[in-house]
Amino acid sequence: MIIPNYRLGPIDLVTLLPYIAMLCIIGFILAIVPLLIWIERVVISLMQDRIGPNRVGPRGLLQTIADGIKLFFKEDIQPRAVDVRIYYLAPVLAMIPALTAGATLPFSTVRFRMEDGSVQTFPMVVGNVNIGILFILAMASLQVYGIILAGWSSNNKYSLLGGLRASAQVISYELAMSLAILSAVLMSGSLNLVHVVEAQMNGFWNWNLFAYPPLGFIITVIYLISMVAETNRAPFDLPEAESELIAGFHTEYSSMKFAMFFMGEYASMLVVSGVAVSLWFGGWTSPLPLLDFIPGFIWFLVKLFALFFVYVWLRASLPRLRYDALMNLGWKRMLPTALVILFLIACWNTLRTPQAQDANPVSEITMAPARAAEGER
Amino acid sequence: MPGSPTIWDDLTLILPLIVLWITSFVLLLGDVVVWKKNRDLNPILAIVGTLIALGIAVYQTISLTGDKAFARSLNMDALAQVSMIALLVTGLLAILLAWTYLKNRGLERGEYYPLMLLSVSGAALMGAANDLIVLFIGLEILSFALYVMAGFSRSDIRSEEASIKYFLLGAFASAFLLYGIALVYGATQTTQLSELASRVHSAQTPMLVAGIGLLIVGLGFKAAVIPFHQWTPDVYEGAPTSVTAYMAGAAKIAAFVAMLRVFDSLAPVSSVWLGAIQALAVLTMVFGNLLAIAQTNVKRMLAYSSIAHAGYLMVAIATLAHRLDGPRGAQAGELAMTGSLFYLFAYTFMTLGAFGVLIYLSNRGKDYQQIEDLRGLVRHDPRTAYAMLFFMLSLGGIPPTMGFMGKWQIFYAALSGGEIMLAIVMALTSVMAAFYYLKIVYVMCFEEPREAAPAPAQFSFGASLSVLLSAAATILFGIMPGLLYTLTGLVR
Amino acid sequence: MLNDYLPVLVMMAVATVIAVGMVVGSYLLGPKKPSRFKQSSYECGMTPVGTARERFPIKFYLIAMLFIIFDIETIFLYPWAVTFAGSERAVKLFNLAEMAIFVGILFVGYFYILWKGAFDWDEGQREDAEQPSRKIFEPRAPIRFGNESSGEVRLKAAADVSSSPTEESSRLTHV
Repeated sequence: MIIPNYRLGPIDLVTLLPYIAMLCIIGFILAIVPLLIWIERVVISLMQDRIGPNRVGPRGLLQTIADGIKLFFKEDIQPRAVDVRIYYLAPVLAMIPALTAGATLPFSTVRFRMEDGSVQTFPMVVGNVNIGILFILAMASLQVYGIILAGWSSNNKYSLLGGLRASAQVISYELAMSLAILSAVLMSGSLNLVHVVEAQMNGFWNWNLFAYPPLGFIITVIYLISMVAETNRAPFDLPEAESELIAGFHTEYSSMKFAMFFMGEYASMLVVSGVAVSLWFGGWTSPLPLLDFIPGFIWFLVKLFALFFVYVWLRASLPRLRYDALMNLGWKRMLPTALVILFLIACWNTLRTPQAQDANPVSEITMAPARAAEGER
Repeated sequence: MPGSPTIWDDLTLILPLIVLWITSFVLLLGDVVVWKKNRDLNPILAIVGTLIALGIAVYQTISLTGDKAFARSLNMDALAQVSMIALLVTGLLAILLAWTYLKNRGLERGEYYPLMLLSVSGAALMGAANDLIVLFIGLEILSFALYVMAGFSRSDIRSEEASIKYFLLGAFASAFLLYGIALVYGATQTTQLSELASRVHSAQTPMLVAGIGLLIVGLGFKAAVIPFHQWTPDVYEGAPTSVTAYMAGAAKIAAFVAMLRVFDSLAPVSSVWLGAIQALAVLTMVFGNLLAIAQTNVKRMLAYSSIAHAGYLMVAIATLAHRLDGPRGAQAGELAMTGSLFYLFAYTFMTLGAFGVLIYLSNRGKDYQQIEDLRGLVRHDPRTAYAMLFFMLSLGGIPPTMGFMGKWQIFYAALSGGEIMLAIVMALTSVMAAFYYLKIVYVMCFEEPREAAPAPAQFSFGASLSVLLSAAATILFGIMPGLLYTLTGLVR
Repeated sequence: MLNDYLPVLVMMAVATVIAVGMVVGSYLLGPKKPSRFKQSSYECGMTPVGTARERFPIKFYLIAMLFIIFDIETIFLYPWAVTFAGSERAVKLFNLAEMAIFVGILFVGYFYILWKGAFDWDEGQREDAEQPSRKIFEPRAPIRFGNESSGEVRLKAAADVSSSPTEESSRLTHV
């Protein structure tokens, strides 16, 4: 599908593309969260041989929307003991990075017919910046502020414990996560997610998942595990463990503020899944070249929902981890494994690089500029 | 291409540092896993590592293989190598001192020696820095290790206080230094010291002045120059004595060698900073000595005395400012350079010796810290008392000792550089200093001991060897300074 | 170049507006019927005891410090990875060796803290930890709820405590 580049004064569609992408992402996140919750409830109830929501709308489809509207009109309780300013700030801080983190995530391509008749392809991405992955990592780690501030400002023991646990867990798994991302960067040689995806085009055998077998596969699994832990989802949902912490850091939150933590959680699930799709599963590209006629965003959505299904599947099948087991897994298993695999990938990569024709001794190449500046001493 | 320097040449130049690093890694992991309970291996291995590093450093210095390394970020010239030798000697003496001291106090945790070796390497990096960033990194490596070591006695609340105080103030001073580096970079577009020297003259902006001011604050803190000295007495008193001994020597050497380098390359704009350095030197000499008089605790007294010695060394730095004022000034600058290196050697030997005597005495079970504790020492432990006597005379700058030779060299450099005022203040305050050093001698030798006869000191091989070595060096280089001149003379 | 960041900034602004709008909207739309018990801290329906501004285990600090160390090491590797992928073989070998040294030093620290037991969340995992089996038959100290000294629990006093953090509690928050 080729779109002509409509132009209105100084503004044309190509310039507007990032803003269109922005509206798509924010709109998608806000609109899809009720659907995701519905999917989760239905899938879990099917897995547990229950019926699940079935009253509001067909197959209970409107149940979560009704829940959302209800939450909007519920009383906004403000407990006496809370630290008011931070108490109100926390959900906002949890929400902003969740909504913004998708900014550097490309989810499709659009082809434009330019004025001179040529056809050009543009990625659908808000910020096509060369530090895309770092931006997402930064945003992902900002989310922990919302959580820990919520836990602290509530002045409730359960909230405090939940907030502390959540932050310790998130930062523990962020290490393995960023090391896994680093391996993808090493495979593709760029921090820009658009370039990372473009390096995986033309068929699923080019995906990073299958690069350097089996290292790519192992590091993908590491990323997926830390992705689940990073978003505090089952089986790593200790911060929100209902049975011991009464929902943890948002015990004291009611009405829409409560819903915002929920939405932030689902939004960040979408974002980290989107990152996984872009890094390991070929992003918006089709798995087989002959399926290229299907638009990119459909492939992206399919992969995204597949990962979301994995989330739900994990939640339905696995029991919650003990806290020390969680920490052991993060620090003692995943961190060293990820580092070693990163190193192995670097070695393999070096071996695969063909020898340059006019090979110089190593030291001369790398030290040459510095030596040249020194002149003859 | 033969003759073109490679990465291996660079690595060879810092071989002593690499030896230190490997030794500390081996110690760190070995203590946790391999020889868990056999704690005597730690100091032995540390000594072996330091000796190897020292041997390499001495060989490299004598064979005059100094060169700039790592894309000109390190300047392993004679100054760097000689200061590295001084630091390694300090480390060696301090390891010997710590051996039984730590054992007697149950502080024999495996981290002590790795931390010390790492901080030696940081200090050596500082001395070898040709780039302000490397200088900063060296400073941080040195300081982090020292913060931890100052709080090494975890059950002692004063040790904890010393650690926290040192850490907070040190972090603050590091921020000053870093900001100063940033401003100097902003004014001159370079952080390399050798580049700085050629560019600084045409970049005399308020930014440069502010940057140099902040550099003085940051380095002055490490060197314990008044008014940035507040941490010194508390940290010296609170930290375990073996740490204090090491810290007094290593931090001072590193800070002053770095200062020599920085102000050597800032000499073209000496009009900017000379006044400040002169004022700091006078303040430090006068108040360091005045405050030392009032102390009743030997560790605190030695802390203030270390401040006073920093003042004398500041005189040398002020003299460096005249490096570019004709041949006479150049000669004075060279004298200041070699003289302050000699002085740093002397200071190390006598301070480590003085603390070593305290450590040796502390092997009796109680900590010897108060001047009162030394009362009548000569009656029941004459050899130790005489060692202390030598160190006190040397610290006070009385002729046949090393301290006199060092002080005399700086004095002479200041006179020939035209810093008459500073030279006079230096002479006067040295007389003042003799008072409190001789007070200890008086208490030791001419007063009756309070107790009849305390338990004889448990013999400690490490501490006695260390004290013996320091005393021998103090006297030997005092009588025959030429032996050390051959080393320090390489710097010019 | 910097123009590429403009949409990101706009997106941040939009996200802020949405988030603030949600908080303000629910504040305005919902009913307001405060009551004393509704506004007290939630402790499973019991009267709240003490304040939540308590000291918490030092392990969380330890984790935070270790995180900073390793996170910075990881961030150092990012620019390395980008330049690594685009260079030729001889340079790659050199960079690989450099990275091996870097990661090697990192691993020295890692194994040190690992074997030292800094990652052991549970004291029982330590080698030198006391074995719980020995203590299992000894009489235990009575479980304390923290309100024994106040005698009979009175609703008013407890509500006062939860309403305003006492001076003591505000001091403890720094710990």
